[in-house]
Amino acid sequence: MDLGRLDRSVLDTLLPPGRHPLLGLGLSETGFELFLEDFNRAAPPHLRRAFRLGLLAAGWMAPLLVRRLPPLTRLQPADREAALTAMAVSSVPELRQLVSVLKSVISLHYGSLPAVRQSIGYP
Amino acid sequence: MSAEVFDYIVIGSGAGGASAARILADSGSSIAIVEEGPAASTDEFSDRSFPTLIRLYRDMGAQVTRGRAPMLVIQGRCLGGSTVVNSGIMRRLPEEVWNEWRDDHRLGDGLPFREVDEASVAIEAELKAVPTPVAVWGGNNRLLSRAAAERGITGSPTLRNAPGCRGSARCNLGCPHGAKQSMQLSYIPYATARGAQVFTDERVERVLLQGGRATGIQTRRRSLVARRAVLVAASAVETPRLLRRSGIRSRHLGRHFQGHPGMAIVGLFDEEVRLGHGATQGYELDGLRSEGRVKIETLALPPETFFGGLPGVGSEWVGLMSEFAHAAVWVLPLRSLAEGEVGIGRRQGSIRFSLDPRDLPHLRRGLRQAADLLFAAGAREVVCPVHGLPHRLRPDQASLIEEAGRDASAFPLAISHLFGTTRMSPGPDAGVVAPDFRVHDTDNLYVVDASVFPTNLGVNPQLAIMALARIAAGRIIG
Repeated sequence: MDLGRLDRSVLDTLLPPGRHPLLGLGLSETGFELFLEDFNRAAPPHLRRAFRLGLLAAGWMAPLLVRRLPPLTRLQPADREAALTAMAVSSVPELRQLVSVLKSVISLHYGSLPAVRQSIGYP
Repeated sequence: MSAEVFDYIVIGSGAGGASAARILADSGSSIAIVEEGPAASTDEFSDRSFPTLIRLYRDMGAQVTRGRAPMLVIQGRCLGGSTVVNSGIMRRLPEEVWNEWRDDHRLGDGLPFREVDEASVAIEAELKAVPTPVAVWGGNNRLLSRAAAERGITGSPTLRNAPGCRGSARCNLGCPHGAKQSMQLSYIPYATARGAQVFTDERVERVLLQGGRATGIQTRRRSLVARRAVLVAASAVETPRLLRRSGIRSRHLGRHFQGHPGMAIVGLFDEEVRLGHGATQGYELDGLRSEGRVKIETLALPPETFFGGLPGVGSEWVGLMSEFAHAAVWVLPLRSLAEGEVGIGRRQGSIRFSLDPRDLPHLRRGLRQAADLLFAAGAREVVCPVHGLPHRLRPDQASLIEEAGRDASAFPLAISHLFGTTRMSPGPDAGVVAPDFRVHDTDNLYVVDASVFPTNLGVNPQLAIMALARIAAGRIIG
């Protein structure tokens, strides 16, 4: 699965660079696409589908939750974060679950990075 | 296709299968242990979650229940089964649970408590179960101990089969030091030293039955003949599916699925907790179990899992991630009142499970108690990832937990202890397996895993599974 501009926008909004002195690395700076190749090879189909659906919903539906027209790339960075936050706390459980899937997959990569582990003091 | 002949074939190498094989091996019989997953040695275990999930867990740890509130179903899938990736906790079958089995399921005569307890004592000795030593508690366990003392609640260091634990906080990735006496390091080598043969990466397609009698098994690559018996210990998810594929019919097959859904709660402290140091699960509070149906226990998570469970996106999420070094993580497994169903036949692959409405008050109350305990231990904030709650709770906001989560979908739950799908019963009218562990109306086919348990336990089940499998194997060889 190749990431398009909209997918990257979703992922960068979920885990942006430079937001905390300890964890300044944003997802886009970490080789996530290489990880994604492994993920697509090894993950069970339902998980891959849920990840893809999560990207789609975040890109096209999340803006609507903050009364903005999709896709997410049309929005300013602060509004993008507000849109994904709205999806993460939505009253629709399926939308919340899709955000959880995106974050879980991102975390499998991000939490394994030596630089991240060193920053948070994990041996 | 070859057809090798054994006295006994054991399907599954986790707590049930390996414990049965260990007893069968003493009889001098020839044994085949057939495992669907791969063998992995201690030096192959990774300190990264992704390769571990791929190699050692079923469906990468991402099996999901169907229903309005999907839950992850966590199972090991490797030589040694879930014992490779659990925390080595050794809890005996609680007597009050056995009383339910006696009174509600008529199992008192067939499965005397004393016999179960004696088997448990023997296993504890063989697997060197010891209370987690203070020296390897680390911050997470120490804080729960501190909270219990502060609130006058009885807690205890967790009894685990990891006598040489070095506190590396990596039980769930496979013990990197071989300290945890999981089955691939204990009962399976015991059995192979006595001639048992292990087949890994072998998914059993079906048990071969002739005239109501088990005669062997069929995998994709081979047929094995069983002269005396086939013992199935493929887990509460896979055992009913295998039995169904093999032609067993019972209206109880796959039904009565029970578990311990649970979730984590995080305390953020000014002091360093250092989740990467200390026994993964080294301290527990049991006192809430009888009334509240929950147990509170510590759980050290690697960063990958810790990050994924935190609320928020963007700056808020990164901010919470950055507090890893100051975070304590405790979990609440719930003795749920719900029953679900594992799909068999055409519905193979699905697991239907939804919380019982009576579970929600127990869950909310348990989370509130855990939050209070975190604050008692000195937490400045608590992260209780229930939908509708502020992402960071201050001490004066703990009461909000009891009002939150009116719907099960509000709770991010996972189930790791699974029971009931071939439950034991005196007759075939109420279950699948007889008290002698034989599948009703079938000769030489036995089930020796947690799928025979008629209820969940409220405590970590591996010791009870081992004890029942040990009893079963002893009865089978006479």
